[in-house]
Amino acid sequence: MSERHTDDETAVEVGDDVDALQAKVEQAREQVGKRIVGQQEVVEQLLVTILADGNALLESNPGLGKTTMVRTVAEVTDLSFSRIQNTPDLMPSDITGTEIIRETDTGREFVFEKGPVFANVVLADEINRATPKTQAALLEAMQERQVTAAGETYELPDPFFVLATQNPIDQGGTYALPEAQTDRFMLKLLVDYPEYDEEQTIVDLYTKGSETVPVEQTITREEIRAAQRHVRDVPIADDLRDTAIELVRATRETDDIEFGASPRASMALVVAAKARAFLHTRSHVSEDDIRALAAPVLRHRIILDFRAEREGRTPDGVIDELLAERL
Amino acid sequence: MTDEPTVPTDAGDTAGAADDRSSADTEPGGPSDTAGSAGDGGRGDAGDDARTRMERALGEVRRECWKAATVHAVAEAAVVFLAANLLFVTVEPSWLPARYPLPGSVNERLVDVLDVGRVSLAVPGSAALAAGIAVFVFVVAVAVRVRRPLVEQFEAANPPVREALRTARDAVGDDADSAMARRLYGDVLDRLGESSGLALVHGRRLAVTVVVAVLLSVATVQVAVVGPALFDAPADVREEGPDEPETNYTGLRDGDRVLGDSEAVEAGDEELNASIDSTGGGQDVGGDQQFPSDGGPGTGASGGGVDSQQAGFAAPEQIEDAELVREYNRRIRSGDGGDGGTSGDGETSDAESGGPGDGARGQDGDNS
Repeated sequence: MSERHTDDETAVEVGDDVDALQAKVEQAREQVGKRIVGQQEVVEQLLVTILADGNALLESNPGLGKTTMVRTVAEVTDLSFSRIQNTPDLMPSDITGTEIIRETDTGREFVFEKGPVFANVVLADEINRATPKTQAALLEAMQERQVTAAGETYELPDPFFVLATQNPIDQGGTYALPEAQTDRFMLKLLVDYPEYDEEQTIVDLYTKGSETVPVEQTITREEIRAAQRHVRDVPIADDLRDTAIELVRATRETDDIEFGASPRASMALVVAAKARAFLHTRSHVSEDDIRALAAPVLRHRIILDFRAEREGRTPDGVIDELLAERL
Repeated sequence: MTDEPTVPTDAGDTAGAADDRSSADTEPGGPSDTAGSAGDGGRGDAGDDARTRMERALGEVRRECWKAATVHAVAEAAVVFLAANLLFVTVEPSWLPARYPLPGSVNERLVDVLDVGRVSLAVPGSAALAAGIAVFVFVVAVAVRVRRPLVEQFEAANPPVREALRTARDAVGDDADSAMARRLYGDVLDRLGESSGLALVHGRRLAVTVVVAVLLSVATVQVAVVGPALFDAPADVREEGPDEPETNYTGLRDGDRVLGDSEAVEAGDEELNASIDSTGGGQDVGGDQQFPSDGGPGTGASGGGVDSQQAGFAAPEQIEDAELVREYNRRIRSGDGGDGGTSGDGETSDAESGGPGDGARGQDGDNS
C-alpha cells in the first residue's frame, strides 16, 4: 500500500508538468529514430499506442525491422520487456505461465511460474504463426490484463502493452488472426519498405563498427502512466468526436464493407487521436489526428465486400473515401 | 478538481506548485500566478480562474461578432435608405404623403433642442418611409448574421485558432478542469491575443457597400438640385440660368432677350373683316358696311386704303440709347405737364414710362 502511495505522489509530481512529459516523449521518439531509419510514421503510431494504453499489430514482410523497432521502444523506457517467438507448437501455457512442482523445506508445493506475458512490453513476434488456441490465450490476457491459471488470477503489470508482429497472411505456415481477436488491437501498423536513401543509411548503420546502435532511456514507467492519464484528459471538440463516431458507423453502413467496425473502434479512434495530439505537444485534438489515425484504427476491423475486393479496392482506400466525405 | 480528495496533503502543495509553474507558462502575469500557491486549493482556484478567463474571452469573441454584424448591417441599411429615398423622390407615388409630422413628444423635444419656437416639425414622406425600410433591413441583416453561432463565425474567420477555440468552447461547456484543459485555455487565450476581430468584417463587401452608398448619395443630391434628368434639363432652366439673378427691375430690357431674335418686318397678307360701330351718322348701325370704306361720312377715316402689318420690332442699334430715350422722355413730360393731350402721361411713373409704347414716343420725339 505504501508503494502505491509513493506511486501516487510521483504521479502527481509528474502529472502536472505536461510540457516536461511531452518533451520526454519527444526525446524517446528521437532515440528510437537513432536505431530505426525512416518509418517515422510507424514509430509515431507505436508511441501513440503506448500513450493511449493500447496494443498494436505490426504487419510487414520479414526483414523490415519490426522486432528491432519494438525492442528499441522498450529500451528507451524503463519498462520490462519480454519477447515471445510464436511458432505452431507454442502452447498457451508457454505464454501465460504454468504451475510447477517445487521442492521446498516444507515439502513439495505448486508454484506458478509466470510466463513471458508478465512484462510491461510484450513483443509477440510473428503472432500469426501461433495456433489459434495460443493466439486466443495471448489476446485474452491482452484484453483482461490478467491471467488465470489453476483457479488463481494473476494481474499483469501496469502498464502493459502487446506489440505483435505478423507477416502477411498469404505466406505459408501462418494462421490468420480471427477478426474478433484483431479488434483488440488498437492500431494495425503497416511497415513498408524504406526508400533508397533510407536503405543506404540502414546498410551503413548496421554494417560498420558496432553491430548495435546505443539508445538512451528517456522516460520512466511513472512518467508513461502520467502521460497516459493526461492523454485521456486531452479535450476534443464535440463535433470532432462526432465525426470520429460517424466515420466508424459509416463502416457498418457502406456497401463496400461487409463487416464494419465496433464501438470499440470509436473509442480507439478518439483516444488514439488524443494521444497523437499529446505527442505533437498540442492541448486539443485536431482534424489531422483523426485523419492520420483513421486507417490504422479501422483497417483491421473491417472486412471488405467481395465486390469491392473484386474491383481491387483496399480497406485503406475505402476508409480514405469515408474520411474524405467527412473531413 | 476531481483528483483533489485523493491527493495527499503533502502532495497537495506540490500540486499547487506544479500548477503554479503551469500557469506561469501559459498565463504570465495573470491572477492564476498567485492562485497556484494556495496549496490544496490552488489547483481548483487556478482551474476556475482559467475557465473564467476563457468564458470571458468567449464573451469578448461574441461581442466582436455582434460588432461586425452591426457594421455590415448599418452599411447595408444606409444603402437601402438612400436607394428607397431616391426612388420615392423620383417616382413621387401618389399614396405617399408629402410630409409626416413628428409625434408630439418628439416634436416638443426637438423644438426645445433646436430652439426654433413653437413650430410643428415634419419629415419628408419619402425619407420617413425609406427610414422605416432601412430599419427593417438593419434588423434583418443583423439577425441573419448572428443566426449562426457567433464563436463559430470567429473560428471561421481566424483559421489558426479555429480548432483550439472550438475545443476550448466545448471544454468550457463541459466544465473541463483537467491540467490539459487548463493548458488549452491558456493556449487559446494567448492565441486570441494574436487574432483579430477585424477578420470578421468582409472588407471587400463593406467597401462595395460604401461605394454604392456614396453613389446613391450623389444621385440623391443631383435629384434634389436639378431633378432626376441627367441630360435633358428643362429649357427655362437653361435659358435663364442660375447666373441670372431674379430682380424686380421693370425698366427697359434688351429686346432680343425679351422677344427673341429680331427678324425682318414684312407686309402681312391676311385680311380680316371687322365691324365697327359708329355714331354721328344718320344711318342705322345695323346697316352693312364694307371696310375698308371709301371714306364716306361718319366713318372718320381718311381716304386711302389700310394695309395690315404683322407686329415686329427692330432691335436698337445701341442698347445704351434706351437710357437716353428714357431721360429725354422724362424731360418732355415734365415740360408738358399741363398739356391736355398728355395729362395722363404726366403723372406716370418712371417704370410705366419705360414701356415699349413710351419708347416709341421717345423715338418719335427724338426723331422730331
